[in-house]
Amino acid sequence: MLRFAKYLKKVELKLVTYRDGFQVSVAVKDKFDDEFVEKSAVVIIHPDTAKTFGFKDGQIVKVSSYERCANLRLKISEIAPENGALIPKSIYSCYLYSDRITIEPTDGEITTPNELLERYT
Amino acid sequence: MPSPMDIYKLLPKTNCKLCGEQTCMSFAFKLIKKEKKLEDCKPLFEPEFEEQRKKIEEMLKVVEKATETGLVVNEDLCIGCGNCIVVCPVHVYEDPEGAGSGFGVRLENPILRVENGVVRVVDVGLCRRYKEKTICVACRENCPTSAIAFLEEL
Amino acid sequence: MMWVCTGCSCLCDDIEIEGDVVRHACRIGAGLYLNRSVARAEPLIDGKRMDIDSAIERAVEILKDSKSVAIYGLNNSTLEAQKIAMKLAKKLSAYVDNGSKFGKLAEMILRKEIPSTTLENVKDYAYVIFYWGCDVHNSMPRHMSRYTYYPRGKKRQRGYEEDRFLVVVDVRRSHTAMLAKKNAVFIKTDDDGKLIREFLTALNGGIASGDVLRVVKELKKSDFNVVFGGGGLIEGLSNELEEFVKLVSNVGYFVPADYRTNSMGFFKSIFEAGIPKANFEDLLIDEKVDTAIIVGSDPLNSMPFEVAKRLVKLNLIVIDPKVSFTSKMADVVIPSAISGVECGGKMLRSDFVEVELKPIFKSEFDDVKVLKSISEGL
Ligand code: SF4
Repeated sequence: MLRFAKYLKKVELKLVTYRDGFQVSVAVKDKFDDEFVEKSAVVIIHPDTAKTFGFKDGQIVKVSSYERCANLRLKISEIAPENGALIPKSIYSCYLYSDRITIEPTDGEITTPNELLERYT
Repeated sequence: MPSPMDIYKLLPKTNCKLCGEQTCMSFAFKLIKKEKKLEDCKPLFEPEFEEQRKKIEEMLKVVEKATETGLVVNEDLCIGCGNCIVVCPVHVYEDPEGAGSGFGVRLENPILRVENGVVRVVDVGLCRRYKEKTICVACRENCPTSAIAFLEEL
Repeated sequence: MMWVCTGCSCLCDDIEIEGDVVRHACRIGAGLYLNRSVARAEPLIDGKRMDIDSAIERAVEILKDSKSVAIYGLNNSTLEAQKIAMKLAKKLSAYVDNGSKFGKLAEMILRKEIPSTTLENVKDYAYVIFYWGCDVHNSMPRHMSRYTYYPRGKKRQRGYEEDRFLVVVDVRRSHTAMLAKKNAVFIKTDDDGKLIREFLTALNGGIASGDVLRVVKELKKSDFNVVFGGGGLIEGLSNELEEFVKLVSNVGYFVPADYRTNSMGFFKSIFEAGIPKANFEDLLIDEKVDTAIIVGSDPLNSMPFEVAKRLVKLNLIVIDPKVSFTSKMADVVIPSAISGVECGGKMLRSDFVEVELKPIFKSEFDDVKVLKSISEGL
């Protein structure tokens, strides 16, 4: 099964959110700054998960929950749960909020907060 | 912190030995340990390697900042928690009411101090590694974001 | 100059400011101070620039026409401002919520139904220190170095490696969990309730996992042990609250690890005003309110999309020193001061200790003045 998984393009994972100190420090500065995107539009997965499914640190991925999706930067770190994906708490994690999310590679650009805001009205 | 491999990838990789080393890889190792200078690699200063040289220079900036004790601080990774300040045995001894008790360090010239939200090396002269040549890793050990490193461990 | 940081509920009071150099504050606190003039809010009505008096007037008009109002936020406001907000809430028969899930436990602490203590006592006496469902290294960066695990205290002179025992409980290996090294354990669990029961069993001499037994053995070495509970724990505690309280009374003390700056102040303010805490998200889902006053909070950056989408449809009055996602969607924006930086007053630390702020600057408008003007306008 795991051998197959290597060729899977889409992974479904449990979503865990967390307050990231670096992200908070830019959020208190300016939420419409590029730095906010850099620190917030991020999804972190565990090294084992990355290995199993062939994800690379820094690549852009499409993260979806239900009919909503956003492009985030993928990071690999042991702070993520083995069976889940970790997203810093921000408008991105709120927009994607659900129990499970799917992650797949994409050629698209990272979604901006303004693009997200448009979807609220 | 760059690894010797990161640097090696950017070197001419010809093993020309002009630098005095047997291989480019060992030159990369010595560069990081500050036992060799970038200028020792003559070919790297040819125009064709300019771009790569600049990249290495960029990487070496971190190494340059390493202090005499091998302590390297990467401010980008520091959240300013102050764990390192409070656990440092020298701070505890010299400043028991301040750093030793959890407050901002009160010494004029401490080893480390948090400034503008990140840790800065102020005076490494007090560090046990420098004075007593002990291998103390208290600050590094209590930094979960790897903002502190020691050259010999890289 | 000495400064009290309002970056989180640690309210660190040992910060030195010299021009544009901030000493001892963490990245969050230093950022709050150094970037105070970036992205400031301006008075707006329907997105158009107005003067502040017109914005306040417009807010009053909206409130007069509203059937049901909610006041949300107030975690970055002083006790003084919270008090005025409570008066305003009574005048408007408004719901109040700060968005924190710690309400129940905070109330129990205020009623002395669960033993709690101060951070100074933790520093001086605590042996076993639990961080349960909280990654304080990120959410309250100086919590451990300033108050709990790392500093030496009266009865804890030998330092963290000998005089403290650290227990971190989380669903993942957080940065805080990485600090659990010598004389420490990290317990990974997806099921807090199960772990609480396991601890209770072990404390009564029953069978439990090795890690739990080890912690229980350490607990018996001291009569001063403390549990810091974070959002991760509290949110999942719907049915197990009773068991958790039992565990705490066996262990020693409970102190909330709610990073929201004056969240405990909020709970004390509503407690004293006799106003029950509402659940703003539920109100939105049940369409119970038509107008919301958001004070120093950015729910679009913290509420699930499905709920926030409903928020955007309300009449929105935002009082905030900074531009936020919610302020972009607001009908009226009223700028305010950054508490602790540009206006003074008091706040409660995460352990309910009152702290007097030391503002460096002065601002013409702050939450107190804005809320007062609105209240008077009504
Ligand atoms: S820990 Fe909290 S109060 Fe202390 S400096 Fe950091 S943000 Fe400010």
